[in-house]
Amino acid sequence: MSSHQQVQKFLDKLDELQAIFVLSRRFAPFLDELFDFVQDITVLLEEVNTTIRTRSGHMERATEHLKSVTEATEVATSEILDHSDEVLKDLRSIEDQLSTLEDQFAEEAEADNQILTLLRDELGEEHDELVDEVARIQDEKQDLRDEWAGQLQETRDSLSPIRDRMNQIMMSLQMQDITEQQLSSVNHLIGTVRNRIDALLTRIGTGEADREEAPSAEPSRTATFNMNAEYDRSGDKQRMADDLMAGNEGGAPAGRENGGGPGGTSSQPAAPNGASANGGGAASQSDIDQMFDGGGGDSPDGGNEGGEAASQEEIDELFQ
Amino acid sequence: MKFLIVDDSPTMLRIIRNALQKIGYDDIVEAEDGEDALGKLEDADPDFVVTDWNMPNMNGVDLTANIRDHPEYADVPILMITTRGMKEDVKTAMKAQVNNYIVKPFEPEVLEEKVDSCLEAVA
Repeated sequence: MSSHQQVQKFLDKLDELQAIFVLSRRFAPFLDELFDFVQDITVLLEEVNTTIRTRSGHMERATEHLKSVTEATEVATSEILDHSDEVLKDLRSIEDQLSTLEDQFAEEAEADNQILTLLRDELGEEHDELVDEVARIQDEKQDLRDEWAGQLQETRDSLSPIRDRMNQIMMSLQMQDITEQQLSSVNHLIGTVRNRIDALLTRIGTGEADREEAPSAEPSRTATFNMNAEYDRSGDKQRMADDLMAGNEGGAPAGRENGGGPGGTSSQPAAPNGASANGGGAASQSDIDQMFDGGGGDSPDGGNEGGEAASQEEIDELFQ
Repeated sequence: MKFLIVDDSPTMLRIIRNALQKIGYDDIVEAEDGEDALGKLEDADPDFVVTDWNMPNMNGVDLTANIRDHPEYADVPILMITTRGMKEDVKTAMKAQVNNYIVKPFEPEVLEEKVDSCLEAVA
């Protein structure tokens, strides 16, 4: 290489170096901004982290509050049932007293008749006037007894609707069981979300969320709930169940259609025991098999039909 | 006629007991889940079982299957009373060989009708 070529190469390198300096000068403000941004975002991320941990603690409190609500409604329901039992007991006692009074009226009427017969038999015709007077008085007494008996019957009749209403109140308390299952379902969801947050925080190295006490995603009745429980008195579901039990591929209630495995413990039904008798009220195994084979589009393993509602297991899987 | 009623809800146990008493059945034994019911089965010697579905330790479907496998109580009428009201639920219960099925909330008249139906079926 000639000396001219060497000088030219040197000058080219200088040009490249100058270009790098120029570029660096252009990027320097951007790099400063980037550095400031990273500093800001670090603070922001810390705040987000703190917020998540705090909110997670709130979830714990929400779970506890729901449990308290469940326990309170159970206690209150039990008290209502106690009072209802007492009212029904009092009603029975009143009915017994009414019956006693009616019996006494009948006995008194019988005694009056015997007295009148005795007077007629024992006293001569010369005392007919006296006997007639006694008979008149006894007729008046009987009129009074008849009037009282009518009033007793009215009282008895008025007790019947009260008893029916009390029984209805007791039956309405089924809502407590249904509400408890709904709250348990919500609690389970909160617990699942919280566990996912814990896993997330652990993964990003910030440890577990703040816990006020030991982790508890367990609902009050150890996850043995039906997440689709609802207080539906329309009777649609009962009609559908009746249709199926009668061996008809009846229409399911409109709206949701979720097979879903039973919540809580192992829930797969045991294989039907062909040897054990099944009452005629239920469909036979062949009927059931035919129902499954015959279609209706239902999956026998309890899968979703139409996909309207997810089972608890499916929700859990989504969070895994 | 002795009834064994199985439910983990004390409220439901009382409601079902009251409803049964109202229709004339006073001889009632209670159990709080399927496991408890199986444990009490021979002592209680029930003529009729009323069970919930969702319960801890052992659910109603598994309880039904266990009773159907029991040499002495395989034929006892079993009525399931549950909040589970989907078609697949009923089919699952049928596969486990319950005799009849009630969806909560129920009316006392429905309970009477289903009890009668179960008894007629096994008669």
